[in-house]
Amino acid sequence: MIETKNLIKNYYLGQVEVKVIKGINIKINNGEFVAITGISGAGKSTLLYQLSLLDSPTSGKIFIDGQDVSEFGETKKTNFRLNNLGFVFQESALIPELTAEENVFLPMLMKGYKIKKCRDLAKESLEKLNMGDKLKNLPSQLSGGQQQRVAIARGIINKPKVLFADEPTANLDSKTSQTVLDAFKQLNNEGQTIVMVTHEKIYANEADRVIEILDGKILKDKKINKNYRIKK
Amino acid sequence: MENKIKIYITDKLYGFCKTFLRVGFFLTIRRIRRNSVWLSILVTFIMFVTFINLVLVNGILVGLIEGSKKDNKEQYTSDVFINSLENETYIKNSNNIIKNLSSYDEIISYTPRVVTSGLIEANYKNRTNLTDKANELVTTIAGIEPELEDKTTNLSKHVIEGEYLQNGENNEILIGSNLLDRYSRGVSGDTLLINVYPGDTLRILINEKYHEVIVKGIVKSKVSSVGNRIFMNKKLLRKIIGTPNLNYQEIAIKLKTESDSNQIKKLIAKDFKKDADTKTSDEALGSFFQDIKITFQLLSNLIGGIALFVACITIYIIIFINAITRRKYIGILKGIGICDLTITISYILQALIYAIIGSIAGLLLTYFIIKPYIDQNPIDFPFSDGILSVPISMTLLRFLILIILTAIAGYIPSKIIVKKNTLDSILGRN
Repeated sequence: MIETKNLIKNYYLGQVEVKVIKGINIKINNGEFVAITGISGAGKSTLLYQLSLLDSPTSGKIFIDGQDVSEFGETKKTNFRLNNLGFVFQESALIPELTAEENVFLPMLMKGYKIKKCRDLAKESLEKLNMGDKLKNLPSQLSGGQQQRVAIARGIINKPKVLFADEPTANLDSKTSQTVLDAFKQLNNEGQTIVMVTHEKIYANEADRVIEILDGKILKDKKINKNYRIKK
Repeated sequence: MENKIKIYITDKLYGFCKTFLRVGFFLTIRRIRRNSVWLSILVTFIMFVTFINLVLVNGILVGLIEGSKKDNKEQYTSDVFINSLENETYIKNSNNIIKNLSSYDEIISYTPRVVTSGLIEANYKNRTNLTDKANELVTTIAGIEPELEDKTTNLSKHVIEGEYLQNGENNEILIGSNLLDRYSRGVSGDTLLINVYPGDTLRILINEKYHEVIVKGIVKSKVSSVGNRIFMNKKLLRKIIGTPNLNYQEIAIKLKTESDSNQIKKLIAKDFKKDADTKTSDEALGSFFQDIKITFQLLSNLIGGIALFVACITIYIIIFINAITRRKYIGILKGIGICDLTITISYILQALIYAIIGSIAGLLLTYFIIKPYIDQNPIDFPFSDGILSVPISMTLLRFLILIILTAIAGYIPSKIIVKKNTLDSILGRN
């Protein structure tokens, strides 16, 4: 479970302090598929960066499975991300010199797994996303949708507590976006907690729960009845 | 219990280090493999040239002096050299010293020399006018026992024209090629003997008396104490000098290979300290060669230092550009949990791989091509046959210096980029 208490994030633009997150309190339960949405500049990505420990809040607390992670130093954060969190960034987030398989198993290699085991896990992870035939392809040899599916495979290989996705459908056509979302839904059905940032409501509504941010505050937090999800 | 904790911590630490290195190496190899081949070749070539510069410049400069020392030892002083004390004109008790030498098992041979100076004149029979300038010069004349001299210094090997001396010959001499105009290297002919060939007659002026001698052979050597001398049988020289003194001015002693020349020198000096000055070959050369060697080493270190600096800057720039253009990916690596140290290690390893491949290529070229070639074809310098002095220990030291500096040159730029905020790197913010 992820919980935030009075989360605040301010940035400095030169001498000017910009308040981006203004005291957000949320709880995300295990197994939920949460979409954070809002207009551009609302603070949705900033919220994701705080929750995923890519950035540090100005004040407030973040708990993941009851552990206060907001005070972690850089090294501890990196280690926590390796062992507990998965990420799907926007486009082109694969390491260009690594094949699809290598991109996927890199976190496992870092965790000390033998290369053979890493390859097996990467294969399994990619096959789950119908990418089993692209193991040896470099990112430059994959389409945008395929690249995102490799990124998802990398995000889930270490069986993270939470999979974070920052605008995973940005710059993808609608058909490809749907394949990416289908992959998320499939993982969520298997019990994976997912927190996804998107500015497109149509994709946000594919989640179990939509948190709408406006001006650094939660505007709406609603559960989606799965029976009424918008079908493409 | 305490031991178990220690073992646990050590194992964990070892495991972490192993993982950092393993992942770092994995990233390095993939990056190099998919980098521009030409860039990798260029950087490796720069490291290769740097290594060659570090090893060869020093090796050649020091080799000049080493070559000179080696020639002096082999052709003139041999392992131990005895000459007269300062302010004395000969070695006192020479014959007792020589008698004593036979008691040392370590001595293979020795050659006593009578040495004096004299005026030597060529072409005097062709001089029609006494007012014409004589073709003469003052030089050192050594009276030797040809067999002993040859056994000790291989003098006969250096005879390039004519023949070597035989014991008992009464008028024959060997003349150093440095005294002859036709072997001069641009030195004015006025100071050298013109058109002298084996069979020619010269005259020597010693103690105001002329003696006619016949050139039997010409000796070529870059050792001035050989190439600038005239050699004849010691009996002949003693006859020319006309003195009953049976002492010598020089004794060169050749030892068995495994013998310690310093120890033999000390033993001889102990018995004859008051009669002669006993030195090892290095000591006989004096501090001049050592001073030049140190100067050359400083010079080569300076040249090598500049090359190292250029190589380090190159590595720094390459790694910096490589890291800064991949800043986003460094951020992503950090984002998915690859720690800073692993990423930094990957860049250090990249720099080291260039340096190691370049150095190995340099090592192979040095030890398997250049050194054997120079050993067969010494570099022709006026004062020595330059060899390539590249002892393994010095080469390894220079290799180590190159590796350490390369690692530092790879570490600094990668650290600068890697330590930047993860999110800023991913988003390309400054």
